[in-house]
Amino acid sequence: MRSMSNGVIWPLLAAGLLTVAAFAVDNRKECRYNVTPGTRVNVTNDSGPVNVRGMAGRQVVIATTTHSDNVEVDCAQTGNRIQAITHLLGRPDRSDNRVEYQVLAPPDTSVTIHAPSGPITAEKLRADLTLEGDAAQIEVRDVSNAHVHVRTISGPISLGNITHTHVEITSLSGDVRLDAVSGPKVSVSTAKGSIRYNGDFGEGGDYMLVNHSGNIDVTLPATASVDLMARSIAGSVENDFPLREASHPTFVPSPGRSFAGTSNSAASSVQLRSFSGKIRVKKLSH
Amino acid sequence: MNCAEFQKLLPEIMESGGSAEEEAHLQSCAVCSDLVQDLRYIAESARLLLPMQDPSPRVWAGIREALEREGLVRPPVGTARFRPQTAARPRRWLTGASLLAAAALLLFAIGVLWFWNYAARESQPVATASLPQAASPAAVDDDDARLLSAVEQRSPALLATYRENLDTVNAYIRDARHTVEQNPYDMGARDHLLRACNQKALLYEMALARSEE
Amino acid sequence: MRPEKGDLAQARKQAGPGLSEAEAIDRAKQGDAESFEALYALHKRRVYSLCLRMTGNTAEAEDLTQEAFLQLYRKIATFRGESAFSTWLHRLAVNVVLMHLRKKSLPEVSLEASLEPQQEDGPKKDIGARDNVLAGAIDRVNLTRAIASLPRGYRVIFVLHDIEGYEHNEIAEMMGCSIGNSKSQLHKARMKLRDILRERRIEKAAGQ
Repeated sequence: MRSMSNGVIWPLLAAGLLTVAAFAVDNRKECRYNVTPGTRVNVTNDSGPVNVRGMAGRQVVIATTTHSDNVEVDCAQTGNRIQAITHLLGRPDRSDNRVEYQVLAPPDTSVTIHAPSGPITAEKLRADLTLEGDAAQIEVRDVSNAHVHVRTISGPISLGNITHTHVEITSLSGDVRLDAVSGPKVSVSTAKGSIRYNGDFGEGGDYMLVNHSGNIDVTLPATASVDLMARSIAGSVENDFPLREASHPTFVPSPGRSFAGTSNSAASSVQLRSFSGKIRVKKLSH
Repeated sequence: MNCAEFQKLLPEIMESGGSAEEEAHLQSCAVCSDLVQDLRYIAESARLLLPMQDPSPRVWAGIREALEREGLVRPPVGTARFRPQTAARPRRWLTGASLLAAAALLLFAIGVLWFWNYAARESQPVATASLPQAASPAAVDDDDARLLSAVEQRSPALLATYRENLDTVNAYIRDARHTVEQNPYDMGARDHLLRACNQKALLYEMALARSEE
Repeated sequence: MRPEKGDLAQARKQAGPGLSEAEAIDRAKQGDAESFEALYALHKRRVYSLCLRMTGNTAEAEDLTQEAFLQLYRKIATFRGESAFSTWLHRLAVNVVLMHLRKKSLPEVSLEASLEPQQEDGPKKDIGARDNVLAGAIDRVNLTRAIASLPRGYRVIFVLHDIEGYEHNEIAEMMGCSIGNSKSQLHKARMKLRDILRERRIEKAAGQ
């Protein structure tokens, strides 16, 4: 009898303890603020994802989930500035320091996020975005009429459906992918990371894609209106997009190393520069 | 709406903004406009007031006495008051200012090197671009080592990332510098060198953000 | 409440060479005397400045600073990190000051009533006359002096809202008054400050 009850009791007790432990450790917190147009939200999170999404209404909602007592989240509002920060109360390398952030904000909210490990996602916003993550994967979608600044050391970066936006991306070894990104100025600079652009380089903007040793791959439709220059100092260039030859005073085109030309009305300026990587420009095939 | 009516509503207007009628009065009335401007300026100036004064030593003396009397304190554990400073924990000198100074020095040194080579090779024939056969040693090894040490202290999980990318950006700088030395008129190469330096500065800046206290 | 400068790097703040604030808190919970002193050194300025601005009196402010830290040390074992440590300490200090102000008033009178200024300020008297604006004419010293000369009731609200960054709902809860009253008192405080600062500017100009 005793052995049977022991056989039942201990597993039940263990299950109960585990359940209690799970509930005791996971802690969800929500901060809500009424805001006016032009509000700025700053989020700093050492470990864990940060998602920001534009939402109708005039409230900023910051929902966080922590998994241990070794971290705390501090939210505060001062005027039109809201700050949310994760504090580490113990060692910085603990695996349970992870905090998940979900931020909902009016689309005209400017957002700054520092999240070294990320990932970071931002979507449906129309104001300034500054996203910084050392190794964080960063994704930005559906943003217009904005300034987007993204910086990583090795985290990959992906932008999609960005219009009328000033874009500045810097990464050392993160790969950068731009799909349907256009604006008055789009600048991408990496060292080892590859750069991939799919779109029409629209809006009569200035586009500059530069890296050291990664490849630059560009695919654009026949309707793209560009004044394009591509050069790899010690790598190679390939082009199968129809361009009218044009002379540039800054360099002499060198077969295999550089080319330049225009298409349609040459509305946008596009410069593709690699130090030792390969640059490939292709026409979008339907 | 007259001034008396407007000013009666000011407490709420200052907090939450005014209606169209109140805004219209504000735009048209210099007296109320000056008043609101003054009140806002006072509020903003107050926000900038920092804590400026320390209490006299008697305050701590009183606290300590009360702590001992109430038995809230125990003798300190161990003899060392704080962690000993060793070579393995270079936190004190690795301040934000020193890292930024190192990054600035790096950029300045490379800039000086570039200009010196540009002037020295002005009359020499242009050579085709090529990658260096043997990489020259990194110009600022000590600062790079301290950078990695700082990252290891604050964010050990990111150490490998920073080490790898430090190698990447140093390679970029070496390649670009070599090309500029060979082709001082090559604006594309100069642009790469500048970008490489900026990328290294980015690395330092982001490491600094991890180590800043 | 507005996070103070440094609030947002609490875990990285140094309570002493090699001692982070988080470590000092942990050790203080175990009764380590030097950790108490380290935490005092880290936060004394802000707590004292808050007490001084709210009371306008140096001796009172020092007594209240001492009391605030003693209460902190008595309760530190219960600090679980639901908020930043400095936020917790700051709220504790504000409550200590407000309790003190309540005790100084008549027991039947609420804090709100006890803090009402003796003279009531009505709408701006010189309606219709235009004066030069203050913008650019206020320096920190003059503003600090002007705040210190405010009637106590105005001063408390002004310090809590405009300097320390508490919202009206927080002030109302702390002081047991309505949000509307908090807004009204703040407005009167600012109006009074405006009058004081303009008078001083006129005096200074006349002196020159």
